[in-house]
Amino acid sequence: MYSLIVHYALGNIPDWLWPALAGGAAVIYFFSGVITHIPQVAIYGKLVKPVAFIAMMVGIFFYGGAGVVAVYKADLIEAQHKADIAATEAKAANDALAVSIANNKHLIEGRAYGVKQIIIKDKDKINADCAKINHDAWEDYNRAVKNTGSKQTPSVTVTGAPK
Amino acid sequence: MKKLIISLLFLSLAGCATRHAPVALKWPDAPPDLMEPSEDLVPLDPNQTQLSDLIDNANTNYSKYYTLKDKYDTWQQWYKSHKQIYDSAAQ
Repeated sequence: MYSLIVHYALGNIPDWLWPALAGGAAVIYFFSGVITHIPQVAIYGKLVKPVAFIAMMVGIFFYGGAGVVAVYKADLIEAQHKADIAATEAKAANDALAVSIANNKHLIEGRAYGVKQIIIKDKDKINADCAKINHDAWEDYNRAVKNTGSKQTPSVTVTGAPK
Repeated sequence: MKKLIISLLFLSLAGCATRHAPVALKWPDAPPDLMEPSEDLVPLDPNQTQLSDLIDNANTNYSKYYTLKDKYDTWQQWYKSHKQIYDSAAQ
């Protein structure tokens, strides 16, 4: 209900209303003070004066609130502008990195292929002095290849910030 | 005087708001290549017993290493650049 009042009722009141209310009430307050000195209408002055005072206070209060809202809206626009720039920069950075990864992958694979061709070409020369790898060498080599850490990924609980 | 004090009290109540505008920065997705699972090194086939086979296998594994190294370096660069972007936007 409070949210409804704030967003739909107070939110749609034009900004000029509060200074107008405060100013108008101040004028009425002043004249009601004047007419209290005129015996024929003094009673009206006494009735209107507190009402005008309260209206003036309400006007000042909401005018201050409207000012804060204006500052808040300006902050919101600035923050949104920064967020838009950040999103553009993030996309540009991502695109550049994606291109870099693809290029390097292509380059590494290409060079590995080149080396493979050289190995094929030099196969006889390479194997001339070592026709067969010792079984232990083969086993040790594979032991080194399989030198991985734990395959288990740590369990991380992410709850996120409370909303 | 009393009215003046009351008026000033009213002014002091004239609205308080947090200065942090509620604009959520979207955390960017990483490039798809960086999200691929890493590949294991290829062990030497028991039937391949020649030295050239060993060198060929090493060549394959080295290329896997360098591909992974590049991804690792790129992850660091990705983090640094996005942190910089995020920090500049969140100021």
